[in-house]
Amino acid sequence: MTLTLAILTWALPLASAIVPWVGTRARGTGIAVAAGGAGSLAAAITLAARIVSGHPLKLLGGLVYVDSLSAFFVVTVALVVTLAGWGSYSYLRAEEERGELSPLQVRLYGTFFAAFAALMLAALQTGNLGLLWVLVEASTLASAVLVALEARATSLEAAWKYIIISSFGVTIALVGTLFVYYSATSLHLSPDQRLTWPALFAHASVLQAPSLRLAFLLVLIGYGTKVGLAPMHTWLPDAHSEAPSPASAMLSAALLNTGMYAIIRIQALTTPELGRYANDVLLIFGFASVLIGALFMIGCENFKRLFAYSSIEHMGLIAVGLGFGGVIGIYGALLLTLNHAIGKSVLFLTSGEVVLRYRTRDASEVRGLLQVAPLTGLVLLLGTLAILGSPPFGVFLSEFTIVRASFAGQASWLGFVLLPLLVVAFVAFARTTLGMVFGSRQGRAAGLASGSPLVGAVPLVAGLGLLLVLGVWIPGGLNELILHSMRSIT
Amino acid sequence: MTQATSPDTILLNLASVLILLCAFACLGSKLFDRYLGYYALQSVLLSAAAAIVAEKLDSPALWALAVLTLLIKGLGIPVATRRYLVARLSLKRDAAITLGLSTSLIIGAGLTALAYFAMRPATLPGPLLDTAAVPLAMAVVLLGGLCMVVRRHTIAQLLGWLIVENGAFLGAITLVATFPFIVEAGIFLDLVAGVLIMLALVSGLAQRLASASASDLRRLKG
Amino acid sequence: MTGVAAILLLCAAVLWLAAASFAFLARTRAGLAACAATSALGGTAAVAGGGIVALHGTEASRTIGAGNVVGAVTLQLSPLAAAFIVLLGLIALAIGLFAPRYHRPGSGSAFYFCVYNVALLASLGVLVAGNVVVFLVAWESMTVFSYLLIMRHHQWRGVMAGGFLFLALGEAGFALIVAAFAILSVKTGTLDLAAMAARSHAVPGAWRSTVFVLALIGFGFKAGLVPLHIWLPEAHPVAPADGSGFLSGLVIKLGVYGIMLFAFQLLAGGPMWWGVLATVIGAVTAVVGVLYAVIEEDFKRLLAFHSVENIGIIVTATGAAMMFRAGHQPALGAYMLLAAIYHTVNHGTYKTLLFLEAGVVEHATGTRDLDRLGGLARLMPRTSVVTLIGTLGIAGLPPLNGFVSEWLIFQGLFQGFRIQPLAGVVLVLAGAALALSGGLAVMAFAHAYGIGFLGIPRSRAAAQARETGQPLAGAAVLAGACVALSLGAPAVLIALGQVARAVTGVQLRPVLLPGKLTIIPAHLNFAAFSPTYLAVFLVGVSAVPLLIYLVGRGARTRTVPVWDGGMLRFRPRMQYTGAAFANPIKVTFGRLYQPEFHVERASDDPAGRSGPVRYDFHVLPLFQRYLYDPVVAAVRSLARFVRPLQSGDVNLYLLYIFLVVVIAYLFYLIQSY
Repeated sequence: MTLTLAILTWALPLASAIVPWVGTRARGTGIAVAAGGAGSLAAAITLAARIVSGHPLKLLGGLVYVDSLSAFFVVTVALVVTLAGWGSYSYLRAEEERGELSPLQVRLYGTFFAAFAALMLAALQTGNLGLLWVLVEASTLASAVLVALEARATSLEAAWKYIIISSFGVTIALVGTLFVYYSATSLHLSPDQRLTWPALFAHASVLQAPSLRLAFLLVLIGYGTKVGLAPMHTWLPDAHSEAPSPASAMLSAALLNTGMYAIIRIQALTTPELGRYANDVLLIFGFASVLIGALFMIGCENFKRLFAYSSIEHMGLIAVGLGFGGVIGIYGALLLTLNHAIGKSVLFLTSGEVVLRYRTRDASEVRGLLQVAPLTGLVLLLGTLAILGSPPFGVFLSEFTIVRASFAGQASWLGFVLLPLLVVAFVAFARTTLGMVFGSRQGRAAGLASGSPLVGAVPLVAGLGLLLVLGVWIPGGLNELILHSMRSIT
Repeated sequence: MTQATSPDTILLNLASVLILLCAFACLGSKLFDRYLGYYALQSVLLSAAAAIVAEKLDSPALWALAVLTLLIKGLGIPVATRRYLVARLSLKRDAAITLGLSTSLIIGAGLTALAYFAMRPATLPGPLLDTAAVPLAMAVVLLGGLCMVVRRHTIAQLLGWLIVENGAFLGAITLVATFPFIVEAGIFLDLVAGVLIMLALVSGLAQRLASASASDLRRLKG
Repeated sequence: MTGVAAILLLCAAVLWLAAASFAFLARTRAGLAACAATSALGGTAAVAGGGIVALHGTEASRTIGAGNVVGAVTLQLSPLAAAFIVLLGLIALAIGLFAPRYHRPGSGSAFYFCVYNVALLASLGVLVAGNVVVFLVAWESMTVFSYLLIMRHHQWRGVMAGGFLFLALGEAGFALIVAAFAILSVKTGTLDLAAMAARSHAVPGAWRSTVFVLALIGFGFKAGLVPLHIWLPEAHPVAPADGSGFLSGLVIKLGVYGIMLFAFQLLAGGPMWWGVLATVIGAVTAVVGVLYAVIEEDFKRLLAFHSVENIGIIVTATGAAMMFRAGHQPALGAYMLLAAIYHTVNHGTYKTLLFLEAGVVEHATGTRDLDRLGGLARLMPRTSVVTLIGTLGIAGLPPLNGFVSEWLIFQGLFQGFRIQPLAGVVLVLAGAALALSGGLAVMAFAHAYGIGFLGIPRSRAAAQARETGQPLAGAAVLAGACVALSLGAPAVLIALGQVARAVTGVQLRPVLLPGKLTIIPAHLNFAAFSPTYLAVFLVGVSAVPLLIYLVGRGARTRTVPVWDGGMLRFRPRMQYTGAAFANPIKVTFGRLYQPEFHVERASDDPAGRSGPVRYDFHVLPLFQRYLYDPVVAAVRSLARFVRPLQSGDVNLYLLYIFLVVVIAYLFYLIQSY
C-alpha cells in the first residue's frame, strides 16, 4: 500500500503528460495537469502519514527509499505542483485565447510540465545516489524546455544559460557522488548497496574522511548550482524570469528544494566522520547567497527577477539554518523550505496574472494594481509581506527560528550579520512590489482580464490561507513529520 | 588489486594519457572539425579504457558500457553534431575564444598539475583500480570546464560539457570500476537527451538571433 | 478576579475579530455604524479587563496547546501591560464612537475597518503575550496592519512615501527587537517571558547590556526616539484622522511598553548607565521634538513632532526610574515608573483627541495648514471647545491631566540629589531640558490653537468650515477622560500605585498620598500638590468676575463701537501669522534648523507698498541628511558595485563555478598536507 502511494505521487503527474497528445487543447491540458498535481498531493500526504507512523519504505536494495525526510519533501513538492498545475490552467487558456501559444507549444508545455513534476517527485524517493543524480539532471533538462517555451529571444537565451550552467554544475555533483561512492569502498557491501543512502548512513562513521571532504565540497557546488547558492546562482534570475509563470513557480519552489534535499542527504553522511566541516561550508555558501540575493534586489525593476533573487536569498537562509545546525537550526530550515515553497508559488502565480494583464515584466510600468485588479493586488501585497518574513505568515516563524539558531552557536556575531541583510532585502523588495500595488492606475494599464479570473484566484487564496494558518499554528502532523525527518538524518 | 606494472595497467595509463592529450587538443583547436574530431577520438579511447577494465574485472556491464560509449559518444554525437553544424549553422570555424591560445594551454597545464597533486595516492587511501589514471581523469574534468569557460560558441560549450562528462566517466572507471548499471544507463540517457535539447535550443537561437555565439547572448543582465 | 479579567479581554478580542470579519458591512452607513460600535464595545471590555488586572495587581499566565521547537502560545496578564490595555481600550472606544462622524461608507472604508480592527487585536496580543514568539508575531502584525491603515488613501500625494518610511523603519526596529529577544532567549534557554525574567540575572553582564541596548534602539524606532523618529512626521499627516490617533495614541506607546518590559521585568536590576542612557536619549528627544514642533505650519505634523516630545518625556521618566533603582532609592524608582505610565495614559488621551479633531478640521476646511485656518472657534464651536480641552491638557496647563503627570515627573527629577552626584547631575540636566521643552510646548500650542482656531478665517476654505452635525461622542469621551484623569488623580494614583507595586515591589501609597487628596513625590517635606483643591480654587477664582458681571448687570450700559485705529473692517492679513509667531525660535535655534530662507518681493519699495511678498522657509532635515541618507547611499552604491557580476556573459557565469571548483580542489589539496 505504501509502495502504491509512493508510485502514485509521481505516476499521476506523469499520466497527465499523455492528455495533451490525445487531442485536447489548452483547457484539457490545464485540467489534466491540475488534476495530476492534486492527486499527487493527496497521495503524498497519505504517504507521509503512513511513513511517520510506520517504517521507511525500502525496496530493490535501496533503489526505492522513502523515509520521513523524503516524505516531507514529497509533500512540499506535490503542494507546489498542485498550485502550479492550477495556475497552468489559467495561463494556458489565456495564452491560447490570445494566440500567443501554438497548439504544439501547449502540448509541449503539458508534457514537459508533467515530466518535470514526475522526475522531481521520483528523485525524492530514491535511495540510490546515482539514480538521484540521473533524475535531477533529467528534471533540469525537462525544465529547460519549459523555460524556452515562449520562444522569445530572451527565453531562448535564458534557457541556454540555464541548461549549460546547470549541466556543468550537476556534472560536478556527479564527480562528487563518485567520491562518495569511493569513500565507501572499504565497506563490505555489494557495489549496488554501496551507493544507497541507507547503507551509507548506517556506516557513516567508517567512511573515509579525506575523499568524503572532497565529495561533499563537489556535491555542494554541484547541487548548489541547482539550488541557486551563490556564486553558482547566475542562471537563476534569467531562467525564473523568462519561464512561463507557473513553470517559474515550479522552478523556484520545487526544483530548488529537490537540490537542497540532495545536499541534506550528503551532509548527513558527513556529520559522523567530519563533524562540523559540512556545517561551516554550508554557512559560507549560505551567507554568500543571502548577501547576493539582498544586494541584487536593490533597484531591480523586473519583478520576476526580483522574485528569483528572493528565492536565492531564501535558499541561502535554508543553507544557513542547516549550517548552524542543532535542533533549532534544522527545524527552522525545514519549516522555511515548506513555507517558502508555498509563498513563492503564490507570488509567481500572481506575477503571471500581472504579466497577462500588463504584458510587461517591468515593475515601473505597473501601478495601482489594487484598483485595476483588486484580488491580484491584494494577493501581491499579502504575498510580498508573507515572503519577506512578516508575521502573521509562516515564513516569519521559520526565519525567526533560524535567527535563534544563529545566536545559539559559537559564532553569535553571525546573527548580527544576518539581520541587516534581511532588513535590506525587505526594504528593497517591498519598495518595488508595494509601488506596483498602490497608487493610481497608470495609462498603459488594464488590458483584458485573464481567461478565468475566479479559477485563477483559487490557488492564490488557498496558498495565502495556508501560509496564514502556518503562521500562527504548526499542525501536530506537520510537527511530527519535521521532527521525524530530523531524526532520520541525525 | 593487480600490480602496478601489469600490461592492463600500462594500457589503461596509456589510454588515460591520450585522453588527457585529446582534451588539450580540444582546448587548443580553433576549427570545429578538429574540435569534434578530438572529442570523438577521446571517446573512442575512453571506450577502449572501459573495455580494458571490463576485461580485467570480467564484468558484462562494463563491456556494454564500453560499446555504448563507442557508439554514442564516439560516433553518434560527433556525427550528428557535425551534420547539424554544417547543415543548420554552416560554419567551420570557431574563432571566438576569450583567452589567448597559449594562455589557455598554460592554465590547462596548471590545472593538470593541480589535479595531480590533489589526487595523490596519499589522499586516496582506499583500494584503486589504477593509481596513475585518477589524476588524469580529474584533469580532464577540469580541462573540460576550462573549455566551457573560454569558448564563445554555444556548441563549443556543449562539447566542453561532454568532455567533462568523459572525465567523470574515466574517473568512475578508475576509482570504483563502475557505477551500478542502472545509474550508468541513466547517465547515458541524460547525456543524449541533454545533447538533443541543447542542439534544439541552439537551433532556436540561430533562428532568432542569427547567431549562436554566447557573446550575443547579452540581453538578460543585472 | 483573574478569570473575570481574562474573560473580559477575551471578549474584547472576539469583538475586534468580529468587527474585522464583518467589516465588509461598512459599505453601508448602518453597517459602518454597527462595525464601529462593535469596535467601541470591544474597547470598553478592554478597559474593564485591563482595569481589573491593574487594580488587583494580579499576574497569571496560561499556555494553550503544546509547544514545539518554534515556540508556544502562552498568554499572560501583567499589571504593567494592563495599564496599556486600559489605554488601548479607551482609544478603541473613542475611535469607535468617532468613526461614523468621519468616514464615508464604501469599500475603502470597509477595508480600512478590517485592517484597523486587526491592528487593535494585534496590539492586544502584544500586551498579553507570554511567549517570545507570540509577542513578535503580534508586534509585527501590528506594524503591518498599521501600515495598511496609513495607506487608506494611497492615491493621494505623500501617502506612499510616508507609509513606506513607517514600514521600513518598523522593520529595522523589528530586526533589533528580534535580536534582543533571540539572544536573551538563547542565553536563558527559554522562550517563556516569565521564565526569562526569572533566569535573566544569571546571564553575563555584557550580554545583558547588549540586549538592553538592542531593545532600547529597536523599541525606540517604534516609540519615536530621536534620531529614530523620522517616520512620525511623514506618516501621521497622511493617515486618516483616527488612524493618526491610533498611531500616536497607542502604537508609539507600545514602543514605550517594550522598553519598560525589558528594563523592569526581563532585565530587572541593571547598572546605572542603562538609566543614564535612557534619560539622556529621552531628554534629547523631548527637546528636539518640541523644537521641530514649534516651527511647523502643518497641524498634523506639529502634533506628530509633539508626540516625539512626549515620548521623550516618558522615556526620560523611565530612565530616571531605572537610575533611582540602581542608586538604591526604590521608592523613587517606583514613583518615577508610576509617573511615566501616568504620563503615557494622559498623552494617549489628549493626543488622540487632538488628532481626531485635526482630522475633522481638515475634512471641513480641506487643509492642514495653520496659516490658512483661523476663526474656527466661531464656525465650529463644539469642535473648538473639545480641542481646547485637549490643548490645555497637552500644554501641561493646570488643572488638566498633563499638568499633573508633568508635575510628578519634575518633582521626581528634582530629587536627583538623593543618588550619587554624577548621576544626580544627569537628572537635574534632564529636568532642565524637560522644563525647556515644556515651555516650548506651551508656545507650540498657543501657536496651533491661537492661529488655527481664534481670530478670523484666513482663507476661503476656512471660512466655509462647518460642523458635520454628527455627535461628538468619541471626542467627548476623550475630553472627559482628560478631566477625569486630573480631577480624579488620587484615584488614578492608587490604581497606578498597584501597578508599580506589582512591577517593582514597592508599596507607594504612604509616600504618595498621605491624605486623601494631596500628592507628595515619594518623600515627605519635598513638595506637595492637590489637583482637586487646585481645580476648586480655579473654579472659585473664575467665579469672581462672573459674580461681578451678574451683580452689575442691572446698571445702565452704553454700547458704542470700540476705537480700533481707524480701520474700516478687519482683514485676515492683519492677524499674526504662524511663521511670524515662531520666528524668534527660528532665529534662536537657527543652528539646529539650518534654514533656507527664500523671499520674493514684487518690487523693492521700502515704504512697504511692494505688492505681494512670498516667503519660503525650509528646515534642514537634519537626521535624514546626516544619518539616513548616507546609510541608504552606501547600500545603494554597494549594490551598484556588485551589479556587474551579473553581466549577462555566460562565460563569466561558467567561470564563477569553475573557480569555485578549482578552489575546492586547492582547499582539499592544502588540507591533505
